[in-house]
Amino acid sequence: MEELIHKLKEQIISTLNLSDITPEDIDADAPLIGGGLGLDSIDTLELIVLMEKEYGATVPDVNVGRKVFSSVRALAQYIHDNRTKN
Amino acid sequence: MHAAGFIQGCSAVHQSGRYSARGGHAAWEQNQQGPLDVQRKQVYEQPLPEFGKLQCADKLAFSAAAMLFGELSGIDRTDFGICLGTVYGSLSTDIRYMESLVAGYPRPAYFSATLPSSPVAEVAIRFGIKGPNRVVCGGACPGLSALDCAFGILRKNKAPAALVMAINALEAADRSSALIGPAQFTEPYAYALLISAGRWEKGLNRRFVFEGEFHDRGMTLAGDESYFLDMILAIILRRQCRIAVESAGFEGSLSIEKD
Repeated sequence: MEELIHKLKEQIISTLNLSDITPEDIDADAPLIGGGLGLDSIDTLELIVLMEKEYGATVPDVNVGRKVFSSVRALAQYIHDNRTKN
Repeated sequence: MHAAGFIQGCSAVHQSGRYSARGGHAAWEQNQQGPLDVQRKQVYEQPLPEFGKLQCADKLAFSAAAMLFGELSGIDRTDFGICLGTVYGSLSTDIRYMESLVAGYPRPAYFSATLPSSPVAEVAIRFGIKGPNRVVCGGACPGLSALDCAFGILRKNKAPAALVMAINALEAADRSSALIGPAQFTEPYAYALLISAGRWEKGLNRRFVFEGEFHDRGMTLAGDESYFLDMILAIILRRQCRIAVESAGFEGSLSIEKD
């Protein structure tokens, strides 16, 4: 799981082109959206595309989405449980 | 038309480097190709994770505005106007979005910036500007049309000052696009001027006169609008100048008067 968390941090930084941020700066348990990373609803959509493209994991509705994007750890857990691509 | 006012701040992000009224000129680093490679720390002091997310036109607009406002502390920007003239608008981002769509994974971040007005929104949000805004996209000299719009806003007392921006944000890969004629290639740039109708207690207060006639605003002939850079250089060097402009879209002059 820790390996996936680290990979996700790197993918978040590269996919969203975040400046001034390294994987070590991202707290795996901190809120992903609306926190210090400055992520917004467009970024959430970008992450949904990333999940589907890279891991084959989809978010079926808003309630699931709220849980999935609550933190990097929650995102990693969801991908671990729902991925269809390796 | 004849319009006069005061320039209170200016900046440029240009192939030859970055320019601002108080900071003068700074060249690009060796590994930087030019304006589209601009780094956050070169234009804005505070960390800003969102900087890298900005699409090319938005990034150029933010960079020029950040340099300009970075030299104007203690002013209330809330009611300022913003007028943008842009040659190709968001064309490069439009192309990136279409490429992602064709690849099967349309990118929301590209889609949200596929509007010529997107740079105005970014600047307004980041710098807390809520006054009127105008966008002129295309034409022979959209930056001058934006300047004309800004004077209109000031004349009607709709804003105490107006940020005028002229931007060309076409990425290198798109300059050979069939959408654009070969004679119209220009390097990316962003110019920004902050103009007010009257003098400010603390400001650059460079008196500025804009006069002449617009001909055909509908004709798209992308020049580099380098008269803006000439004006900015005159301000940096504290010189007066009169720049004659004779293009397909405008004939007249821009004058910076004696300091």
